[in-house]
Amino acid sequence: MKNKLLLIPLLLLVAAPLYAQRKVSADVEVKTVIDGKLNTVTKSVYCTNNGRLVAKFSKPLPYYVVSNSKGEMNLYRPDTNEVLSDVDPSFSSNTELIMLFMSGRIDDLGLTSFGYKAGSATREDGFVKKTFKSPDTTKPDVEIVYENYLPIYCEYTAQDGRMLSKKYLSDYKTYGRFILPQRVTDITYGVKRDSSIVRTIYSNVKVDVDDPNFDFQIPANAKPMKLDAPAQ
Amino acid sequence: MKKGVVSKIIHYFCVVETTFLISYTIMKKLVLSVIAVLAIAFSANAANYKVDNNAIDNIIENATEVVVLDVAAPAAANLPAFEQKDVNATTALILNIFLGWCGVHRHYMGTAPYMWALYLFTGGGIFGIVDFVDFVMLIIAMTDGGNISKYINNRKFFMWA
Repeated sequence: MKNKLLLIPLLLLVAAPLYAQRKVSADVEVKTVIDGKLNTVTKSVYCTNNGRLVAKFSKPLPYYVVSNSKGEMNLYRPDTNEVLSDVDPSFSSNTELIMLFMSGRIDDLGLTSFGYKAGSATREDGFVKKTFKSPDTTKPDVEIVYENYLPIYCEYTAQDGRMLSKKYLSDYKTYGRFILPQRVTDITYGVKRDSSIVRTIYSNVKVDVDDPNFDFQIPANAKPMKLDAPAQ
Repeated sequence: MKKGVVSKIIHYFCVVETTFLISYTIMKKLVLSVIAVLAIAFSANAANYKVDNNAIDNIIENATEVVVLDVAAPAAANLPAFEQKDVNATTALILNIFLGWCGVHRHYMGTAPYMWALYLFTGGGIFGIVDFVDFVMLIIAMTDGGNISKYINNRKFFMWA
């Protein structure tokens, strides 16, 4: 027990760098093309390593989304002082790619935290391929391809073998101990409609900087949002 | 006699050297050819995993810009709807304190099915060290908002590595 107590300061000292990146912020531009139509969304994300994510949208509308790893999400429109609250796993901050890279969950891109089981890894032509399967057969199989230990390609396939979507991660850049792809391209194949292309560009990445947006709180006097009202 | 032997030796070495040079040249070409073929094969395969950015740029540039005011659908990643495992950091820590030596806390958080055996057969996680580091990491996670998501369904023996 005495030895264990002596180890505590040493272990804390060793573990400190692992937790050094407590805050990461970045500007994100998401361009979506469906049926020849382009929609652009710009936002700044403020991630804290306790799982809290503040997304400050500037285009098409100014609004905030505050979420946590449990899927609790609050959407706030400052122009109307309205708030919409919801809880759903798909709103979890863990679905935000920058959060996955911040917490070092690069190897499975967060799939195992959603119940996926890792299959065997194979090496092919300099790339390492790893498959992930979910016990839930309605969920797609996922294959991740790594180059230099970093995921560069992700493929979602339905149980009937139909390709659902592909994700390409490129232009990796290191920020201290934190690494992030600057460009992510998603191609989703539609059944009855054209494929959609989503390009996400990360820029202005800042690590461990102070910004009031990290601690953004929705005003207590915000009114519940009326979903039937058309957005202005 | 001696002169004949010397000339034969010189001739022999010349033949050997010539043969070696020819072999070396052929081998070099062969190796370079193999490398070239492998490079082509590699680049062909690499193309499957790398997107043509110029083509994507063209599609985006040629698309008609529209404004979608869909504030009720925050742009999360294009992942399917998943369910998260409900794991409590305090419970994991208590299990670690009392039954950490056999990796029960790891199974509570979700891990490889054989993890208990690894902990057990390494004397409680390499004589208690791994178990103890798990304990420290869980303490750190608890003091930092209780976010232990990176340890959930973590199949690594060193869950914090």
